[in-house]
Amino acid sequence: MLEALSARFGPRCIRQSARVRLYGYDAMGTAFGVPLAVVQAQTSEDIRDAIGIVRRHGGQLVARGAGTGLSGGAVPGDGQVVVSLERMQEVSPPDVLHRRLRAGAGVVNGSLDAVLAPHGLFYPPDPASYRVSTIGGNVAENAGGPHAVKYGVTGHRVADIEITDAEGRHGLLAAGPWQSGPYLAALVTGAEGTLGVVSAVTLALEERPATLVTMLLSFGEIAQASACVSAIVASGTLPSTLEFLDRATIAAVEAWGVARYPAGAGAVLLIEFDGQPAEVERGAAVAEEIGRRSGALSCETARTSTERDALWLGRRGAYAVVARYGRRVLTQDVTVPRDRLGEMLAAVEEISTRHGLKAVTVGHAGDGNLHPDFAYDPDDAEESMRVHQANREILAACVALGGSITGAHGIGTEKLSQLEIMFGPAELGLTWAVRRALDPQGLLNPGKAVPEAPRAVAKEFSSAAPPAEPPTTAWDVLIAVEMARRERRRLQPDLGGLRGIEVSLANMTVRVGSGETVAQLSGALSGSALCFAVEPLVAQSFGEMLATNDYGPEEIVQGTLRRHLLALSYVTGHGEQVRFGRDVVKNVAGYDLYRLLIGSDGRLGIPLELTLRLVPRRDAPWWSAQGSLSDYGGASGVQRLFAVPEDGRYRLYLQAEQPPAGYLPSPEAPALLAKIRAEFRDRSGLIDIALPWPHVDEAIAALPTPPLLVLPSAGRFLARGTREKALDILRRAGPPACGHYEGDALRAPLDELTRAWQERILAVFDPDGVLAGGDGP
Amino acid sequence: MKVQDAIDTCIQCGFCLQSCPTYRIFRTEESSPRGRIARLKDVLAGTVEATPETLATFEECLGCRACEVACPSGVPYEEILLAGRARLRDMQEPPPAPARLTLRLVRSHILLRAAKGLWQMEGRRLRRAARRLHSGQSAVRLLAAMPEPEAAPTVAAEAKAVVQVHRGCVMDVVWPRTNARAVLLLREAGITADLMPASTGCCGALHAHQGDLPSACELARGVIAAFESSGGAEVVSLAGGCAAHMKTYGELLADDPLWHERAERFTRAVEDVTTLLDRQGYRVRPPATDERITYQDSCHLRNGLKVQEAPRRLIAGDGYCEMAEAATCCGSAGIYNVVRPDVAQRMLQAKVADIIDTGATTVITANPGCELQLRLGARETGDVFEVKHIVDWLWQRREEGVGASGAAMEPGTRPSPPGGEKG
Repeated sequence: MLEALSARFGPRCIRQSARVRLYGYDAMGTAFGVPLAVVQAQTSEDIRDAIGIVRRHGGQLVARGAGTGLSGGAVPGDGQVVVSLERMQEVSPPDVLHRRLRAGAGVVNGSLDAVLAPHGLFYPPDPASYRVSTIGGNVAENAGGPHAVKYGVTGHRVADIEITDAEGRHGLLAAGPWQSGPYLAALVTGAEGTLGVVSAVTLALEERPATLVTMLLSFGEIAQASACVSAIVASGTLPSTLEFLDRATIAAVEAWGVARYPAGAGAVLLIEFDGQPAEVERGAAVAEEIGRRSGALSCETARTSTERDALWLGRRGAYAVVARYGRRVLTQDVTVPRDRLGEMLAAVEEISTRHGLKAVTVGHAGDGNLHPDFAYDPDDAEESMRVHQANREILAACVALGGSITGAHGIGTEKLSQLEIMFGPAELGLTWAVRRALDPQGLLNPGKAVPEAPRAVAKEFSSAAPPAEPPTTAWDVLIAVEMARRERRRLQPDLGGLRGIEVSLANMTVRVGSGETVAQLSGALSGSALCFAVEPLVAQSFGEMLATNDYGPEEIVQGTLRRHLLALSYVTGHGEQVRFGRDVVKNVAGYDLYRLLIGSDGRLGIPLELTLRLVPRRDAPWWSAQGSLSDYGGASGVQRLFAVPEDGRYRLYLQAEQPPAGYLPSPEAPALLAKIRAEFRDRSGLIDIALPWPHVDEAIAALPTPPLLVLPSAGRFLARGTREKALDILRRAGPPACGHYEGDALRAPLDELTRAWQERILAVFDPDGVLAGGDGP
Repeated sequence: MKVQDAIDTCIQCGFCLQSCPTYRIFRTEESSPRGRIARLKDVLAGTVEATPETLATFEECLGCRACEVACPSGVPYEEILLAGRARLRDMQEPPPAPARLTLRLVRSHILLRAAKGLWQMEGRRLRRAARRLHSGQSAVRLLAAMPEPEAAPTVAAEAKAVVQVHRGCVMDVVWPRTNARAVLLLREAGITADLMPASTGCCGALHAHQGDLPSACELARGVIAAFESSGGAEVVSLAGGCAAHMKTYGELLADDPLWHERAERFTRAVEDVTTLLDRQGYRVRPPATDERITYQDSCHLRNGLKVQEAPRRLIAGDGYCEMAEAATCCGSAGIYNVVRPDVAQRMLQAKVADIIDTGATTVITANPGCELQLRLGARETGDVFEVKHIVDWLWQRREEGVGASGAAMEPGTRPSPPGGEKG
């Protein structure tokens, strides 16, 4: 194998033992392996060939970015081949209108800002390591960062992923707003390179905020700080950052000398509001008032960017400054629902005291994500044992509070044996089955992310009473699936009986039964400062929304359900009842087998209950102008966008704080939108298609009649026509175009990688074909 | 700190990677600070054999110490680097001839004085010859980029000088005028300053950075002795690299019972010329011309002594434009541009591009090595900008009659105590 790699890669195949050893570690510091060789890939062909050679010789392969992971995810085992992506440095010019940027896997996160700032854009996820970590690594670990509280994590910002799988197929896992089919990009994000090697990623960007306020609140006691966090979250203002540092961290940051935090504080909160001036001002005022009521000792506001950077630098280096307390640092990454933060902090304190340890804690308080760190001496066996025992107890406490054992650092090797604290045999068995299906030989990064686990056997239901029809409980669904499997027939589940709405304003989440509708949820939320962001064009239940990934004019800033689904329980076609995700906004424990179901036409499982993120209600004025479908650039604080044909052109309607030049106030827009939505109740002859942007104008021109509605930011339009016409449009555009005709899913032919993955995933989730779904062309 | 302890402070977080110029060029772990630390750890543990190949990465390192600033764990990287270089020196062939010659030359003040005389007499001719050669040889290119030999203004001796200006080695040969101007500027700022005796010699920074610690110690003792006999209270350097190195004499001679205390005293007395002028409140008014200026940090001044604002305050004005990556090494790095001209050249090209982007007509530096390297960059890109030591630039402002407004001080007054940049 070495010879073959050397012959193919020449000096870019490193094999001297002194040199390969330098690829045997990451930032966690405790995992180490000596790879057989290191291949420095520069193109996706390099990756494909490296995988091919390793596969032919029965070897194993690990992709690595900058080696800044905190869970051993990219640390090779002895004798494995490392494919280093640090040279995949290509960055395309940004697509400013659609807010997209394609970056090579080795591009450093922190280098993007220089490219994007001149265009008024930014890429929000900024893990503490953002100055050094790579986009490929961020995708592998689904990196978070302090801005996740408002802008989400890497997984919410990944549009398309270019990837090479274990069998050497290279392809595009398309996840633009036009794509349906299982959400494969979500599956890959956070999978730690166990399903494929990512070569490039298209990122979804954000408008650079017009204003920014950074504040530092200091408190005498931790409990006061945590009460302040809960009150800010519950107030419905949405900070872009809400970070927490405890007394020991503050002291260590002081020693580094880069930041000046208030001396003697028991805890500080670093809070940022960004966006339109009015909402930023309001947020800052609310936070300051809440801070005062919570007993803050001081409230400082950074006035210059240098002051802001100094406040931030302290937070970003917090992990490594803890090393000043001991030779090794064990950092944890527990995430709990935001209203349980105080309980989690108390549990950390109690457990570490009981084990005679001192936890140094920083965290993304606004996400409920805490990093209690233990500095220790790895050569002291007794101390190390106490550290690891305390660690496990803290993880168990977090799971008991409904949290996730890792919010952003990943499973890697470090938490592989701890996933069982969080998941039962059904979840672990399903996860391992997915891994096996996509990488049967176990070629890619073995021993990471997901533990080996047997598939759960379907239960015996023979003595059970006949299920309610339509099903109202998980039990009813399980039995229905089992009966259908036995009778080898397709199931057309009616979700209408799966009900329940449970709002948690303090956590900014809601749990809904899959039979509930957006309208019912809106009713439950009326009078509160929060709302659910996605409004599908066609009225439907959340279960249907999961199947179709439908969305409305808010797509331009809110994306689709993909950005708002936090957890999902469902019954697979194999008859397992599983729950993936948690009621937390950051969670990278195991594969994302909840968002995977978005857009899958109900073919992977029958949804029972969804946990959704809520966002503050905002209501900017509507504006309109006549123009082409791309004449909406330059708006600021955009909330919604749609277009209807008018005199051979379009009238664009835009809800925004600041419209682009030439737009006039248009208070009639909401009524117009409601009228158009009402028309869609009759789906007969309704074409609903989304295409990659370059094809939209051409496809619309080929329609027999003008479209009823266009969502320009998504490349989506609705029109009356025939099924043949719809199929013709999809064929011309090619993948990843897709859509619906009269509510049935249609799809353009897929590339080889996507087709193979979809087939294999379907075979795992529904081996007997009991779940009905739309047919492809 | 013992090297092993220094290594143990690294927790491999990788925050240093992007700060490292060689990592950004080669994109391989071996060319990063974290990789170098791991390599020396392996060598010390015996898991990797110490060979010229396995230690070559320590020669490749510029020693710019940007990684130390980026490091949240406080790893004393330079100690690890110097330990690696010392081991490399034990087993490697000597450095290339021009580098060897430089190191040998600056070690002896007699040779230095001869070189100074030679440069005064023949420098013009040598420089012209080098310019005609169009050689790719780095030493020849650097020679061609040297300034014309210059006569230094006479500096009236000051018997009770409180501040002694260290002449340096190369500085005293090529830029004696700049040294003299520094004394005059300091006096104007109200400080009784004088040049250290001509026999003081090199500070040994180049030797230490090459891993030649015996020579470095010997030179350090010479400088300390000369300083003590001068009766001064403070030593000022015009070379960021030298100032930063002289600040380490205490550690360098820590194991020398006869010298340790004297070295510590000396270390406390060292300061860079820019911080002293800045602390005295020395200011020139912004130029009336439309000259655009920018500033290139000296790595050791910025990363070693943590001085970055003082020189910028001295030259602040409408014509100032901060360049991108001002803190990134220009590739000079002591004699690095002779030892590894390939890397130095790539860094210089990037640096020149950043300078040109500012539209500056003058680049100001605070270290002779940087000045020479940037002169090379200017010469090889059509002289679109000039390069000046900060002292020369301040002098020129003063000569132009723009005038200076220093806090007038009585002769013989001690300058206010050094306190870093704060205040």
